[in-house]
Amino acid sequence: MRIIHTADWQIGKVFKQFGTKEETLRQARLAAIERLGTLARTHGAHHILVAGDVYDNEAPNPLTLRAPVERMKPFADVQWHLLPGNHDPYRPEGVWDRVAQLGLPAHIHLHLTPVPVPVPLSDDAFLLPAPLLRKTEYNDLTEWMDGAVTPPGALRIGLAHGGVSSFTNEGEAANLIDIARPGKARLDYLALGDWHRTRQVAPAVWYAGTPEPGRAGGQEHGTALLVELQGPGAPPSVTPLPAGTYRWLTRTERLADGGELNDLDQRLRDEQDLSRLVLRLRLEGTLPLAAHADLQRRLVDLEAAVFHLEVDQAALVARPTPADLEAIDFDGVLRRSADRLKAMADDPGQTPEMRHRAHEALVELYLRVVDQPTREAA
Amino acid sequence: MFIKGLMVEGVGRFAMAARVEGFSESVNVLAAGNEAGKSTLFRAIRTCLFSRHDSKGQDIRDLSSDDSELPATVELTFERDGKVYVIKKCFLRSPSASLTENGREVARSKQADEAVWDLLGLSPGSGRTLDDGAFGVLWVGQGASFGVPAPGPAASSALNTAIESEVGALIGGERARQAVEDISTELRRSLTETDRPKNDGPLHRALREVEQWRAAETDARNKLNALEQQFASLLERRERYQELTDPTAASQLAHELVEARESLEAGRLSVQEIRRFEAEESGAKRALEGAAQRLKQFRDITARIDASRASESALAQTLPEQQARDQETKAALLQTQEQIAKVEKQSRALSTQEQLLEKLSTAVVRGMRKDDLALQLKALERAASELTQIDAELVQLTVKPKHIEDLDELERQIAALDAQLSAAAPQLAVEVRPEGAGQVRIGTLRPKGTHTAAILTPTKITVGDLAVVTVTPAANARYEKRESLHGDRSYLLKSLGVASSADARAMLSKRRDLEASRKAVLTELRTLKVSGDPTPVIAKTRTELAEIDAAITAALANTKLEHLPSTKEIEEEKLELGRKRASLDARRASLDETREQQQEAVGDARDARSGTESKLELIRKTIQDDTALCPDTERAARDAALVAEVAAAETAYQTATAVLSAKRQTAADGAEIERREARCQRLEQALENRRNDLIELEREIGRLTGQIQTAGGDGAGEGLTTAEEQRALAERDLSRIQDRIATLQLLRNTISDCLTEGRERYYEPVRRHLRPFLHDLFPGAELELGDGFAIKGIRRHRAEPFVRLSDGTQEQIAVLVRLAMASMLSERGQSVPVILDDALVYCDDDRIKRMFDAVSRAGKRQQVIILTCRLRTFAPLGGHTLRLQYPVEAT
Repeated sequence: MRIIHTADWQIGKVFKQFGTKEETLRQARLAAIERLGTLARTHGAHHILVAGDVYDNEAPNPLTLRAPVERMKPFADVQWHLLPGNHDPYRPEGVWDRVAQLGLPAHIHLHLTPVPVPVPLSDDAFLLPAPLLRKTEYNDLTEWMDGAVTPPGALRIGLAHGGVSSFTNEGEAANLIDIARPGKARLDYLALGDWHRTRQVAPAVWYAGTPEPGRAGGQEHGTALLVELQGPGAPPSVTPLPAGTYRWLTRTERLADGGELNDLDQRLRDEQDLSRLVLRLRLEGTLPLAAHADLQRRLVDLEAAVFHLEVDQAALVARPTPADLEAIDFDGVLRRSADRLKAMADDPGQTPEMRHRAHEALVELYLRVVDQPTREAA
Repeated sequence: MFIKGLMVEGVGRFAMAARVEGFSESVNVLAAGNEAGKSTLFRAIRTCLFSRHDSKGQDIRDLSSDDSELPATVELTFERDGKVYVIKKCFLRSPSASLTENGREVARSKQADEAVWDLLGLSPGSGRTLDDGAFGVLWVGQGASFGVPAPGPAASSALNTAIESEVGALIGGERARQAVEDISTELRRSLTETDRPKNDGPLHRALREVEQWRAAETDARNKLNALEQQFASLLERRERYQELTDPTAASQLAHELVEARESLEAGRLSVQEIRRFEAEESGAKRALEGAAQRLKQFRDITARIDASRASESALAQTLPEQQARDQETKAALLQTQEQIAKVEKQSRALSTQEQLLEKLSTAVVRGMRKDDLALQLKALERAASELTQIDAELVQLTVKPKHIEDLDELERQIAALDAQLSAAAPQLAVEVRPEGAGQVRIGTLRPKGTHTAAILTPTKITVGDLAVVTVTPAANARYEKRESLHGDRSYLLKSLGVASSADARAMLSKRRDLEASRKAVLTELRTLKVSGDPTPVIAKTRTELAEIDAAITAALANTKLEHLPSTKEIEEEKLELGRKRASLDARRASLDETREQQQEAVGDARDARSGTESKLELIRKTIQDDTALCPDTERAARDAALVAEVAAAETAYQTATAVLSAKRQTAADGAEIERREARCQRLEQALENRRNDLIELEREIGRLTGQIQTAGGDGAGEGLTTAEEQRALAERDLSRIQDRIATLQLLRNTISDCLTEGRERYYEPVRRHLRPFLHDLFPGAELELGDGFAIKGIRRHRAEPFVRLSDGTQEQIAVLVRLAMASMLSERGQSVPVILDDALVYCDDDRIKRMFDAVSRAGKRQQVIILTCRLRTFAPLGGHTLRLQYPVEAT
């Protein structure tokens, strides 16, 4: 039996920091659903298990509510199993009741029952869902699976959303799930959601990750899992499949004198598919003022090349060299101003904020009296 | 440069050629009155040096003389670098220009214009404008001396060159100023002058954006919290609804209610039975009480019959005695009343006597008044008679004082006319000699001796028979007047019925005597209390006397006396009658008291008798009624029957009481019934509450469902996430802008500080040159200079902004700065004359002396030309006096 395991769609997530590109990212999340349907067809999987967090929050607007349903509707040959997660727990009259009131087609299944029962996927396979009924659950909702009765010889597939005790600090919620649950409940596979990384946490326990990443520092590529179950007790065969559009890359680079700028620029530009790259670049170290100005120009170019660029320069210090100061002026008012700002920036008696401010002012002076006129002249 | 001479023609008031002579290289003073043309000369110098000769600008047109057919011509002679130059320009008509150097023409027309500028180190600006360099600063026109020197580019360049030759350049100063200006421009987009967020600037917008999104976030969060509460409320109500719709609990409650109602019904039945037994006991009790009452009533009647009979017997015995007493008191009262009637009769007789005596007394009194009245009547009658007589005489006297006054007036006028006529009349003088005695008659007069008289009327003088001489006075109008007055007097005397004035006056005298007599009679009448005519009083007195006589006659007739008694007799009689009256009154009072006591005794006796009779009658009636109810023959039998009836009723009552007591011990009491009722009500209420709760819960669930669906439909969760991100974005943006502003402020302040320090060093040469001039007026003071040689303020005891100084001080400082600039330029070999036209207007006496010192100091290094209209004030300045000579022949 083949199934597609996915989770954490978080439809409706907002990306205001992306400005006008926000809607593109939102649409990419919906496109991932269609891609999942296509993957299921391609790999002959009749069921797609969504392990929670279909929606980003409990009260999406009407369009957001309908959008994933509409994307699933064309894939009538695939059974979609949706489970509430901590972002969209099931509560009476909540988001799931609103979804149910839309009049779902038969191939879309909501697993909302507060007292779960095994759900037959086929004659010899049963789904044991553990829907979250609140954002934070202090009991292990998969515990009921231990006593769930299924016909002998049938496959038992668990579906849940939460963290496992071994890496709870990386999960989103404290909805703990016993990592030994497959053994206790005789599960052939436990499909989990909540953690935005594709990861196997036990022999038959996997986190699918999100099909379309949405946060820096998390999953780079959108992924879904193709799970092949040979029979009861047999270890599952799990294959990660690419499912996303945008790649979320985070890089931290250390700079020293500006000589590495060319290399950095080249390395970043060598990344695949720049136009679909969401890049978060954290820069550290020190740079001469000239190199700093050069860096700023390169970053502007790079921003135009990638889908989105976010640069954190808090740890990057622009340190003027004698040549920088000479470029400002060999003497006179501006040179004295630059020297004074440099002295302030280097003065340990000043507050860190003041020193930082002096750095910024010095860079600004350089840009105004050296860099900008130079570029205008060029 | 040193100006040596000036000639103008067709310029302003100088229609003819005029020349200024006497220029020296130090201080020069051209002192002349108002409208002498000083300012015209000043403008002529400027125009000659700085304007193109073919210019037709307004300033040129203003310069030319009115009605002049000649061109406006200016010729300026100056020395520079040891050479003497003459620049001559003709404007407007036949414009021309010529420049000579040491007497040789070196340029003409446009070349002459520009050659002069080259000599002076000036350069033409764009188009036809010219930067007049240091001249623009050091040549101060009328009214411009108050302005702060503001060097143009050329002047600044010259000054900067002078400064830099001493202290070096202010490196980067212009770039720094530009940087500060650029930064300030950028800051001004966000901040006001006071560093507050500028309306609609980036900072203001960012702040507003943050505020707006914070509010939106709060709003969205409130909505989401409300949604959370609605979810919780819905869950709670659904659980409660489930509890209430539990069938086991509902069935148990219904069963309890049925049991409670049955128990209550049983209790109520037992209560009804108790009430029936209570009614029976009450009936038996009432029967017993009725029998006892009847027995008591029967026994009361028999007892009353016995008592009435005893009372009747006692009253019958006392009645005769009371009847006798009644008769006795009535007889005594009758006797007393008879005595009272007798006393009243005596009293009436006494009253008759008293009335007669009173009439006699009145008659005696009136008789005494009769004599007085008779005397008064007599006096009145006499006075009346005299008055009648006087009035009759007065009627006869027609002369009144007014008549005499009129007569006197006529005679006075006649006498006056006579005097006047006599004065004017001829005088007749006749001397009758003894031999002619008696023979001469003048009218009827026979004069003797000498006779003189005025001839007022024709007068005949008869001299014996010898002659009759008639002397007639001349005609005179007064005669007619006199005749008229005579006529009036005669008419008056005739109307008064007298022959002469003497008669008239005698009649008036008699009239006055009669009037005095009449007044005396009237005075006498007033003593008799009569005013005016006494006749009515006389009649009244006579009537009163007749009435007195009638009264006396009647009194005598009533008393049958022949004459009136005396007053003493009447008094004695009155005393006697008074004594009799007192005796009768005492007797009467005694009898009245006795009668009152007897009347009371009669009442008491009558009351006692009638009371006894009434009681007796009542008792006899009572006995009759009671014996009718209870005949003496049936008394014993009826008593026995009633006693038996009471005994039977008492037995029945005791039986009913015992039955009721036994029932009460087994039945539910009121408290128990109340408890059962309360239980039923509680269970019914619980069922009702449950129904109501279900209805309310269904309604609440419906409402919450609707609210949740609405909130869900509104996308409250998504809205909050959006607001949070927007708020974070807005805050980041605000932080970025604030960081940027802080950075720019730090940069601007740092550059400004460095620029200020550099400027302080740079302007030190200016201050050095300025200091001696400044200290001439303000010892120890220092001037603060800003960009472009701007005067920012002065430091004396404290820093003072230039603009806050008085107008006079501002002008003085402005002039001093010009002198210092000129001194600095002069020191660098770029000497430019200082020209002050009508400057130092507001200097006080002390200040202007100090200013003269400063000007004189300046005059040691370069030419200073002072144009002033205040000849006396500027006399102490000294210097060379410039002479204005005209007309001269134009060259």
